[in-house]
Amino acid sequence: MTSILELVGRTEMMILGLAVSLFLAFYWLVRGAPIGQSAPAEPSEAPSTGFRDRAAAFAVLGLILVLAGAYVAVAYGIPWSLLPFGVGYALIFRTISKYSSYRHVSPSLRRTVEFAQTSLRFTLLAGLLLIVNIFAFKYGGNPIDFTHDEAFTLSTLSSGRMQKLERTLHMTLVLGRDESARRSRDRVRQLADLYKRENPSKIEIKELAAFNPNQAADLDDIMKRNPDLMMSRGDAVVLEYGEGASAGRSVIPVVDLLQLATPGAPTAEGRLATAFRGEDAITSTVARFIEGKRTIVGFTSGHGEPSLDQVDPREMGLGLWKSRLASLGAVATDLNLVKEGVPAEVSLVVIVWPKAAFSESELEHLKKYLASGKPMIVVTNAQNLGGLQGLLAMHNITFDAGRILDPEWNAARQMDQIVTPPITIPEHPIIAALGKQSFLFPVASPLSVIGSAPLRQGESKPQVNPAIIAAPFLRTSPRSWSETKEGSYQFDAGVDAKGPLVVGMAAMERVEAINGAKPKPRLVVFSSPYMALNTTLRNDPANMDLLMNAVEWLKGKEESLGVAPKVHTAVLFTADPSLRTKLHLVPTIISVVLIVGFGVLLYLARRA
Amino acid sequence: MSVRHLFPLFRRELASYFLGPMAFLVLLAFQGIAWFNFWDLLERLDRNRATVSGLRDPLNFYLSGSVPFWIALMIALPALTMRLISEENRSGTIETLLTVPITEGEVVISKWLAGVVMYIVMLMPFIIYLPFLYVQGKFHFDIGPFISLSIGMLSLGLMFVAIGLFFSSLTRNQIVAAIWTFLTFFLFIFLTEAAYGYALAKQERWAELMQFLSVLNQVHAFAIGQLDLRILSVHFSICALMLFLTIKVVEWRRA
Amino acid sequence: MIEVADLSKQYGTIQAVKKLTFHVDRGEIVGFLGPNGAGKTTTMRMLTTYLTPTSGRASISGHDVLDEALEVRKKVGYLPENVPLYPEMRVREYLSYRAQLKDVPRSKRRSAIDYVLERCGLADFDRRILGQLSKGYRQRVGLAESLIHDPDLLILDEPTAGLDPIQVREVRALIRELGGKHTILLSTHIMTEVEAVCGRVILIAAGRIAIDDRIERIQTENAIVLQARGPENAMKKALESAPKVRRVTTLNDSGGVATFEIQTEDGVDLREELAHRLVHNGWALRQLDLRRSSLEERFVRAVADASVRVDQPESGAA
Repeated sequence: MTSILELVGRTEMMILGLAVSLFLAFYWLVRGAPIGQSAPAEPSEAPSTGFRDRAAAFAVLGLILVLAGAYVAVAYGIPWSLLPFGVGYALIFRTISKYSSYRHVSPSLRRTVEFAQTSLRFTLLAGLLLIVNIFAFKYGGNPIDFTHDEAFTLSTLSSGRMQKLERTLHMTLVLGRDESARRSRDRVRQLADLYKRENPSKIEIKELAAFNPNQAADLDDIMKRNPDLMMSRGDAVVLEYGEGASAGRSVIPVVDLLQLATPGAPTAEGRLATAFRGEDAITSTVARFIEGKRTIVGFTSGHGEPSLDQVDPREMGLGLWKSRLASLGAVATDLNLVKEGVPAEVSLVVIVWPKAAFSESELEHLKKYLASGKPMIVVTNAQNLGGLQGLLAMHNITFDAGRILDPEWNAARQMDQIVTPPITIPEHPIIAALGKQSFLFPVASPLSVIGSAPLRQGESKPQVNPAIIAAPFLRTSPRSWSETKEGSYQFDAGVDAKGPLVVGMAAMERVEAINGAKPKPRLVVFSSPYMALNTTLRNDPANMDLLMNAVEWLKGKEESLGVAPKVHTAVLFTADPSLRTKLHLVPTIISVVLIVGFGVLLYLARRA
Repeated sequence: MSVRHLFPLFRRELASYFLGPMAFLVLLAFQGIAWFNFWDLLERLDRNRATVSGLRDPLNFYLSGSVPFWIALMIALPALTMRLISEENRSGTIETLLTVPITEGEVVISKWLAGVVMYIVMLMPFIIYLPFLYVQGKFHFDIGPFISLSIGMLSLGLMFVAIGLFFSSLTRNQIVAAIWTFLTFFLFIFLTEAAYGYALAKQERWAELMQFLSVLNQVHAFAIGQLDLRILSVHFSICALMLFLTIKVVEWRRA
Repeated sequence: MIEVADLSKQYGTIQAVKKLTFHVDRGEIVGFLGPNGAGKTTTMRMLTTYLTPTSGRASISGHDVLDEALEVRKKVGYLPENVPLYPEMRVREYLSYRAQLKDVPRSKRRSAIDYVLERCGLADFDRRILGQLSKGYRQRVGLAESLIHDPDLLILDEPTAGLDPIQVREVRALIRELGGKHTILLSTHIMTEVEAVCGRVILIAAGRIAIDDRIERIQTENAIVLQARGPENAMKKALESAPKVRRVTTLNDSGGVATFEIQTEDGVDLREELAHRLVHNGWALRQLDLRRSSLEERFVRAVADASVRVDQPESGAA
């Protein structure tokens, strides 16, 4: 009994049943009477009833076979479908050619021929449409992006990563109770869809609402797996790569993804740019999942460096940078070099704003660390070097005296809060993906490459490390200068160095250009102690990209440099109330006058 | 089928719209809705000046996200397509039409084209505001999504008019044709959306299919600047099948 | 011009037209006469290709209505019953529109419209709106429309229905005039109209042809009505075998008594010859009459007969 049910329940049986019922229905239609009843009488000249019934049966069978052929072609492949197609069309053509001559004497044979002709046209049209649709679904899966800022196009970087997925990537959009992230919710959804399209079989998208009691159990589950989720009150994207204990997991709070872009930079009237960095966050996290390891970033401590645990955006801490590192899978830890050297698992050392000097032993530890080939980031200025001059000189980098002032490119009209002008031709991979963004560098000092400046009188030729190439990648505007006199805000020709001045410099190891080996990145220096602090990052989110790109570059993966965030320039509507009234009234009145006028004119003209 | 017959047929069909009051009433109604929606859009734009995001896709608030627009479309489009063939059936002019040397295909295609043009004219009240907003209001919105929305609404119109034409060919009673057309539009526009919501809440597998079929979702995607060729090809296929069936129905009337 | 053979039309179980066979020569004006519901309109619709025949053939100028519908339509000008028009159009607009559909060349369109307007007495009405025209003028517009492409054959379905007597006279005059140039098949259920206009009449009743003859012949025709007792088939054969007998129609056959109507060639009186034949065979003669029939009489009789003889095969062809 159960086996019969099973048999009946199979797809093939259902298709067969459908075919039989279609046959009976069409046979009835063509013949004029259902099977078992005698066909309607016809003129005496018409062929016999049996002849007519056979003709009808073959014509209907032809259509059924062609339809079956279409099913077979889709389900089993085109070669298998050739037989039913061939026989079906043969029957249809036979009907048309053989029975057409009876069309004047036998209504049912004429109906049969008309049925065959209609079948032929219908199947050809349906086949054509099927092919069009197959093409559209095969090659049109990605919608064409009509937006000016390419909001719906993933970078090749992301799409390449998604092709490399080996396990299933679960993307869960958790809708929080806090409505602050709501306005970017649509963008997150759209982004998730874009990812899904890249690799539909490996990416699962789900949406859970914290306020939906039906989903409470699911939500509990996901919270147990991802304790970080408790921390975010707003929306969050939970990424889980694979299942079980070995799965990679990460929680990305949506509120971090949408930020004002370059508020410090002058913007055109009525334009407000927002940057959506969702793609960068997700792709980088997935890249880390695929690699399967975490990067440990050590921040030196004990010399008055800003705190890593200070997350208040109004305070001078490094919490924002730390959490951003965490969201991309890197762990930021404090590094105390008093007792011991840099642990082996630390793959990057960061020194931010050392107000006190490093001790000799600490410097030794750092040199040992650098000697092992690992990279470092230094974020400070000439006034807060903490005795690192030697370390920097090893990389052919030196801080020049003074603080950079800029009367034009600055934030909040403070000349020492300089902003770098957009770079038209990025010369370095750290900058390359960031396009034409500006970065905020408060109280910066100029950097220079040792040995590049013309020698002054009485100076000896400085010692240059031939194994290292130092390259500037970020400069201030031509209007800026380096003010050496305390308290002065005037440019003194001959004394103060004139802009553009270097505020970002990268050093790498010189390698022989054989075997296509790339130069190994060693050190990145940013010459403003404030540029990595919460306060600055809040004002200029672009700085975060700069920092993260420096981290990525030093880790030696130029291809995984941060994806440029989607900058959307929201146009501001600046019309005053009277213009607004005009805007909606004038077209309405014009249109209504046109419609009514045309109607009345027509009425008058047509009045007899 | 030849083009030389299409033009006089098409012109008569279009002229008959404007020689009656229906087209003007529909246009005025749409102008009213467009006015309200545009006023609402201006208010939103002004309110959003303060917030960061701004309106990413003003057209979604203006047209495709507007419930009055969809309800008006669901009523006005059947009202425009219902008479295309059923009126000829009722008044008997179909007899004069099918005894001159033109084919059923020519009749159906020209009527469909007239319906499509009427549909485009019906959407004009919505378009008329945009140049004013762009030039006078100096609101330089992204033109791309507008173009993709126009293409999408056109392909939707081709399909909807073909459906209306099909139901019009089935009957000699305009009201019957209008009701069937309305029900079909209702299915396409609201029921798919409702089914999608239901399937989404229940985490059903067919949620994705419903999302794809839902006209509201499709138009939403068009309005934010995503032109999905699959949707266009589905619209085109339904349109072609409907026209094929309509021609067959007109032919079968002779039997 | 028109060739019809065994033309039948069936709507579901109702047989509207049963095996009509007739032909019309070029230049004839043929009246299609019959009561309402006799199948006149259905036949005309089949000839204009608006409907397809269920079985049988019909061709116009050699073009089959089923196979070459578009060719047939080019040859035919058709005035449907009740003249359906688009109410919002003007007379000239409508004619111009129809001329375009009927492939009247652009260069000739204007003169063709002027000609039919003149011909149908609409010259001063070309700016009028169709929906506001009176019945008579609608009829004229329909007629003008059917003439616009100068067709070989005009098929007019009840062209005078609903007109006042003066309009009727005008339309009849117009049709007579047109008859010189076109072949005309017109349907009506008014006898006088046929007598006034047509050269030939085809009387159709209950889907069959009851009479098909030249109008003068019908007007002058003598018919012999004969009742006798005996087997119907044998008696009919005997009557038919007599010289100069044109057609024998069985009017009634019940209880071994059959009534026949016999038409003779040129109206010759054959009463004695026929009586002799029956009596010679031993059949009893019960009645013998010479009847001078008006068309109206024939019409009424044929219709009455048709409803009686529904199951019998056709007795003859034209």
